[in-house]
Amino acid sequence: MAEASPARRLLEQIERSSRNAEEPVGEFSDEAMSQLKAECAKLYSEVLRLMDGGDARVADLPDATKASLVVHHQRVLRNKECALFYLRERLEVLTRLRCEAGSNLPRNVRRHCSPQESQFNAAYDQLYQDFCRASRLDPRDSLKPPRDLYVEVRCNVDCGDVQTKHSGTVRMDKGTSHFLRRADVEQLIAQGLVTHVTTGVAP
Amino acid sequence: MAELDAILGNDEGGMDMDMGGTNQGAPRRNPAYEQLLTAWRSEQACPEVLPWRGDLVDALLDAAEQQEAMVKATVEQGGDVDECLFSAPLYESELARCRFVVGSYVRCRLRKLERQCGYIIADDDAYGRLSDAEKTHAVKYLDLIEKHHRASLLEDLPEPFRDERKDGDEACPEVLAKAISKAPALDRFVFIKANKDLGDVQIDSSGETAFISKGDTHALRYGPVRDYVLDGSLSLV
Repeated sequence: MAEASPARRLLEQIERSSRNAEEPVGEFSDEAMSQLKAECAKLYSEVLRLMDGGDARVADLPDATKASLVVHHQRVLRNKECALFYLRERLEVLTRLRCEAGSNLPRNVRRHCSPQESQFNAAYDQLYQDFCRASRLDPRDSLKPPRDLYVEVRCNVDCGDVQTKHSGTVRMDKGTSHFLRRADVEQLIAQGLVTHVTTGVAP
Repeated sequence: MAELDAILGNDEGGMDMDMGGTNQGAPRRNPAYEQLLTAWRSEQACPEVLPWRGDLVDALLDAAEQQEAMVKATVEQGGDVDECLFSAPLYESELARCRFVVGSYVRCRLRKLERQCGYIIADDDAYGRLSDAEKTHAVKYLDLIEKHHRASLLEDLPEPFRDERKDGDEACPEVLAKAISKAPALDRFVFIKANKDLGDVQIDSSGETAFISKGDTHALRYGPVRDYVLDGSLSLV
């Protein structure tokens, strides 16, 4: 079976990622993207050739040529639409993660970003902080409804000295557990640096 | 700390979803808090951005700040042991809930705003429903994603495809802005709850109507009843 077209591969990747909570952002498909761009360039040069370098008037062309012009043109438009969708969906996930996990995106996400997306992340981070300041919103606030004021967390890695709003500076070494304000450790939990220790009984 | 009761009211169920008013015997919450809960719920269910309730948000944040300062002062004075060890954490968790609702409301709008920014900026009505901070953010965000799309894709396409065109042949930034954002799904089904008697309301493009009186709940398409939701006669659940 022939390989799927680059546009289809982009769409499939989005669909896979949307069902994968562990890796919400798949690796940026540079390959499919550049294939798609090359395909567009090729189709466009074909359009130009059919129109005698763009000089011919469409009305003068035979019907068969008109039909292939339409097909080529639509194919470029479709490719473009799929690629725009691909980029947009990825941005949406990246901005959502910025709100959930804080300015340090999880490593598996950062690794999968294209250079342009990394630039976008940095610029968006600034934008988001400005917005929070203007709306009197604390970007470190919890995104989940607060259940307990304090939670027990265990550190998965050495986090060093962590500044907290309510308990001053806390030294969080690997393997230690702490009883801290939920709001203070929310982002560490989201980044996977610490684990929230629950007592097993679902509330 | 009795003042806090006046502001937050007695919140027995925590973040419960009751519509307020089922529990007539219980002391009432601060009306601004009640109204924000309704606005928050509508915002989450609504496919487009609803009018910004800056009055409620500011009132609640001011009240919360004042109360936080008060709780802190009480604890620092260290007077009454009961107040420090028992009441203060209770007040603090209540304040955390209140802050959560405000934050969630603002973030929920932000998500929608970013997803639909091209459409919102093109539509004066929708743009007018935003707060000042949201307006600035929408414009800057649109600019940012446009740059991103240009750098990642559009620059490398053949020249005539780099911009979106209107019917004529001119490059139209507005159409491009729409192409890189999502249209609000106005034909989505929503649950509505009527805040007043509306009588016969058209609920369908074919002209079908439903009789809506105060307190009724219906499931219908958002588009036809959109105006009632925007003016507050219907809330979404």
